[in-house]
Amino acid sequence: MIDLDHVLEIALLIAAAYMGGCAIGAAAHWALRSMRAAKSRASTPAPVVAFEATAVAEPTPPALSPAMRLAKAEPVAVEPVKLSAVRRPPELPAPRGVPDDLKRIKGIGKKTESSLNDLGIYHFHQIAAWEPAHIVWLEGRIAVKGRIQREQWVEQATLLLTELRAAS
Amino acid sequence: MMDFQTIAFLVGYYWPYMAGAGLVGVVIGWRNMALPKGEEART
Repeated sequence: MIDLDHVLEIALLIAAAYMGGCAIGAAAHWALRSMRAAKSRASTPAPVVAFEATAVAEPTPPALSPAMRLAKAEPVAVEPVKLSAVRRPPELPAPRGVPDDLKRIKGIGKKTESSLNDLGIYHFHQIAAWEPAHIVWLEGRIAVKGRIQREQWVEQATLLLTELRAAS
Repeated sequence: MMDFQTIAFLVGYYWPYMAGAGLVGVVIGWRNMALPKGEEART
């Protein structure tokens, strides 16, 4: 039979055991958590900011105008023109409306444009219609020999003409 | 006043109850640490 005198003492002891257990449980959990944190910190290395060396893309070539693209193309070999076949290209007495900006052709500057205008050449369609015989005639006058073919004035003029017609 | 002898006697006699209380305490204490703050108060 339980001694009533000791009931309070027993209750106090059980309560103390319970509180001790709470403290042990909490401490154990905290210790385990700390251990896990320390372990994870030790195992995972510090995140290295990986500098992903992005492949240095080759610099894209600047966008070339169609005329420039054509100018960079390989020139087509032209049969030599007989001297007897050399002739002046068709000319116009005056430009039809607004003269085309012949300077858009790579190789034609202000001076060359002025010379072409003096020869009655104002528009791209005139240049596009040049034949080898015309080119040979012109080379002695407004351009160094081989320049018109090397810089592909005729091809450039054809392209620009197409653009103009497409735009209008 | 509780003397050492009485306490020793009581612990020796009622140790299973104290062990049980201690285990309950361990579980409660562990859970209290594990639970996020919002779930601490349960009614």
